[in-house]
Amino acid sequence: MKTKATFTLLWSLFLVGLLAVTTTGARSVDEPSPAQLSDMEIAHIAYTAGVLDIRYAHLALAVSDNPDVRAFAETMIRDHGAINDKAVALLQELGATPQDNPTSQKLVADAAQIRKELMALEGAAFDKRYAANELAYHQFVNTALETQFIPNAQNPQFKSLLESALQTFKVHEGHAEAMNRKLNQ
Amino acid sequence: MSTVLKRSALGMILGAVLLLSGAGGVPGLRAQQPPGPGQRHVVEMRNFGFEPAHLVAAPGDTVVWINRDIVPHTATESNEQWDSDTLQEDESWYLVVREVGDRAYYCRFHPTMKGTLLVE
Repeated sequence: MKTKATFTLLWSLFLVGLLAVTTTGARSVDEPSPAQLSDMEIAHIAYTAGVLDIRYAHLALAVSDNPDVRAFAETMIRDHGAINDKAVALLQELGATPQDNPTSQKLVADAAQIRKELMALEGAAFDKRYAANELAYHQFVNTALETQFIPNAQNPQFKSLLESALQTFKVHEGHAEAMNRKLNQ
Repeated sequence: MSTVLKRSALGMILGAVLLLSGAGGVPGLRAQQPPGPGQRHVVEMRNFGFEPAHLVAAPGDTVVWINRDIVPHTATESNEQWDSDTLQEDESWYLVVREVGDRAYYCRFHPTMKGTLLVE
């Protein structure tokens, strides 16, 4: 499926970029390794990922009549909104500002392309594409959180928030799997 | 029928009125004392589960659900005879159980979260 292929490519590029320095030492200056990503860069990526998923969800609510898709989208808005609110509160407490970075920028650019593709669809075609994208998106974000961001986060409160977010997003991934199974029956 | 109450900043007075009337649904605070004549039981919504997942109570007992996760949850009876509505982190809601029986409930937002409440 094209969406899966998009995320497979995205994920491959992401991992290649993140891991290059540890394997070959050859990397461009603007592609930081996990160890080089600061907490505030990780915060920016995680927050951006949440915002993008909320945008997908609003699109789903505008287009889809499927009750399962709509319920999933509402949960994405509710949960990602709550987690991003927690992140903002923590950053304010720490007096810190998220730092934009190439990974965040790539997420935004890729999401714009996917939204464009979604907006060309309607009915069951939209629902299936949205569901497939949600599954791939959560798999991508969860792998990044589990293998890169959480291990490299320095601030204990921030690391704890990322761990809570991962737990939530894994539940979302499970919901997305169930939604995909139902839509493809 | 079970009496359903949600605590609020309006306090115990309004809660007591609702308890007596059998009505329910006031948004707000956690219950510190059992409004019912019986025991008080606490079910925590934690790590996307209900803890304990299976609770045994007696008629007149109060069951308090507290959300310990960072995302909102609900405690919703499977046939929607009672529903906590949205509970944000650290918000709570309580139910004074009246009828004997075994009731399944779940979170409307995360349907894989399931619990049972046995009243005997």
